[in-house]
Amino acid sequence: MAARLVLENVNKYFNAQNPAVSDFNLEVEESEFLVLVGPSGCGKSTILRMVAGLETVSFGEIFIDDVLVNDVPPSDRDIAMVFQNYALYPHMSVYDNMAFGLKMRRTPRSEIDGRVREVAKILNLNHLLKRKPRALSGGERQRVALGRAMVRHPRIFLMDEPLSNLDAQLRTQTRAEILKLHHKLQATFLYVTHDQVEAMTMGTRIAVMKEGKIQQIGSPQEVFERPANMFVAGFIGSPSMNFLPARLRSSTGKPVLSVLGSELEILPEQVLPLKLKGNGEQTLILGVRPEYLYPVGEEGGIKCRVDVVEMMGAEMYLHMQVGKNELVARVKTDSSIKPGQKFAVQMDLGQIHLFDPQSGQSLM
Amino acid sequence: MRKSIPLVAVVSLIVLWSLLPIYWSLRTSLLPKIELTTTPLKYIPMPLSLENYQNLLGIGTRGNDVWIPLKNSLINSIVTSTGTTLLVLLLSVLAGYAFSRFAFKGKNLLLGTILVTIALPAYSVMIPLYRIIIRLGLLDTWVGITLIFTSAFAPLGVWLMKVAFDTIPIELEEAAMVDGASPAKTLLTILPLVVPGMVAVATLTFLSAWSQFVIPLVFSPQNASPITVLITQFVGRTSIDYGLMSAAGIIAIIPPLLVVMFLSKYLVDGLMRGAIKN
Ligand SMILES: Nc1ncnc2c1ncn2[C@@H]1O[C@H](COP(=O)(O)OP(=O)(O)OP(=O)(O)O)[C@@H](O)[C@H]1O
Ligand SMILES: [Mg+2]
Repeated sequence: MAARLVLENVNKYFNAQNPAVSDFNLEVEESEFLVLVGPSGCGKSTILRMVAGLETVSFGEIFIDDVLVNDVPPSDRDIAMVFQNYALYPHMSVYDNMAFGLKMRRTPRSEIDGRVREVAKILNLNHLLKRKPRALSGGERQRVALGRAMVRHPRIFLMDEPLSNLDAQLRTQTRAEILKLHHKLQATFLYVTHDQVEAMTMGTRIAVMKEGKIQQIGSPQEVFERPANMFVAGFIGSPSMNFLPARLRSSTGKPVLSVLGSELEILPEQVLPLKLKGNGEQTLILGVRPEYLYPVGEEGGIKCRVDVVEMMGAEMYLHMQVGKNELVARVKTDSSIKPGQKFAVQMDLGQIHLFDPQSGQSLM
Repeated sequence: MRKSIPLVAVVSLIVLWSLLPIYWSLRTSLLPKIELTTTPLKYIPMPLSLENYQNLLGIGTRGNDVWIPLKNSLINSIVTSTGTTLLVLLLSVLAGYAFSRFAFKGKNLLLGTILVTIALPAYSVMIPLYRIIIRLGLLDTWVGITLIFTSAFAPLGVWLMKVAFDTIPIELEEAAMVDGASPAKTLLTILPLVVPGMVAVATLTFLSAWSQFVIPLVFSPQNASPITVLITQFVGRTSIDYGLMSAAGIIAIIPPLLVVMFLSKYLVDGLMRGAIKN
């Protein structure tokens, strides 16, 4: 049932100068839930549309179950797609919207009816089958769009930011709904989002994209714990990772990082595997996530001043100023912390990342 | 409320402006011939006479004298107008869809040309057209007239349908394609959404075709001549039969009136859709 999807060196040029997608390589295994995530305009939709056959491939090859599909029309790819704006037919009832794909494939009427009603039951749409889309709420429309894809039992599901039009609560709920659906159908999913939380919670693997190129592919944990470069490090995780200029001295055997006037002794094991160029002093970028910064009182760390306190409930985000640099710390809520207060901040040295300042690549 | 008084006045003036000539025709058609020339002018047809209508319908004193040409010209009008409407509709939907959805070489040039031909007066192509029609042996035939009308009205129809398709989100077609629809089936799937546009094209085309005079006068002077041309032929050797002309005019209004009444609900909707693009 489920299919394997392979993209090999796929390129898409809308104009001759800058490709929307370049040298894109991706293998989506059978029954995998792969999430494409990246900022707006990075080419996520373009990839999905090329897989669906709605956009031509400029160079490169797309395979579904080892069959080259570059020239196969969308109708023959056995793919279902959920569009960002749902794309429901406004003049058809919910039932007819859901039955459409099966009708096109000349499925017997009785089977269509059975499948539509089964899916409608799963998605809790039974009572809406006779309505037109315009008489539905956003969440209901979204479920119809999902249902329209589900009744087809396609080999591959493509979803283009299907949750972006929903409110926060409905989004969480539907997220779980889609995961259940994936578990039940065991189909292959290629899911596009610009929301890193969605990516982290849903993907068996996630592919982080920027400007038409894949930056890193891996499990959510891998991508979070071992970001390949500063872009991935900054994009995944909320609030974003802090980046600070640092100098590394490792000549004496005891490696020392000097960061914003503080000298941090790090373990030689942390430096040994570094892909460093020379031996002497090195300029680096230090990355540390907000959850690994701790205010420790007046002295004994990097000295900062609290600018803004962002209250999140059980936690709060402290936006702090260190000279010209900004630092964000994520701490347990403490009502004694006020803007303007001065602090020394320490970091968990076991959780730091080091990046090459030129290329932005991780050195770890 | 008070603001609407000038509006009502203006609208009334416009309605009066368009209805007065029709009323005058009606009045003329219902007066006995003698009363037409009396002074002072009669504004209301009294005494009423159905003589003209009886003559037209072949139940009056003139027998089938007028009825036969009237019947033939009505049939000619209905056939050529309906044929033109159907042909224009077909062309507009297909070409409008292509212009709205497909990228092809020379598209903008072609669209520009179509816009120009909308503005082009028919007289300017009359002579070459005449030669073509003669060469094709289509002078004074339904097919000839229908083809000429179609060439004249299709550009506006294509344009209107392009605009109508432009307002439909392309994702609907993409969803249909992914769901397994062939290109033709994809078009059919979204066609109901442009029905208001199609109704607008159909109505405009039918009315334009019905009211054509100069083109049929030149290209179908006899066998295929429509009611508009016939009316002008109620001219005797010594006199012009104003009553008969007016009565025929009134009869000529009826078919387009029915078409408009039948489609008007959609017509307004279709024009609005074209005007206010989302
Ligand atoms: N039909 C098109 N013609 C020209 N350029 C296009 C076309 N479609 C997309 N692009 C360009 O390609 C790039 C990638 O677009 P794409 O829609 O794939 O981004 P995206 O990652 O889906 O963004 P978003 O999250 O905003 O939906 C953008 O720079 C966009 O302007
Ligand atoms: Mg997109």
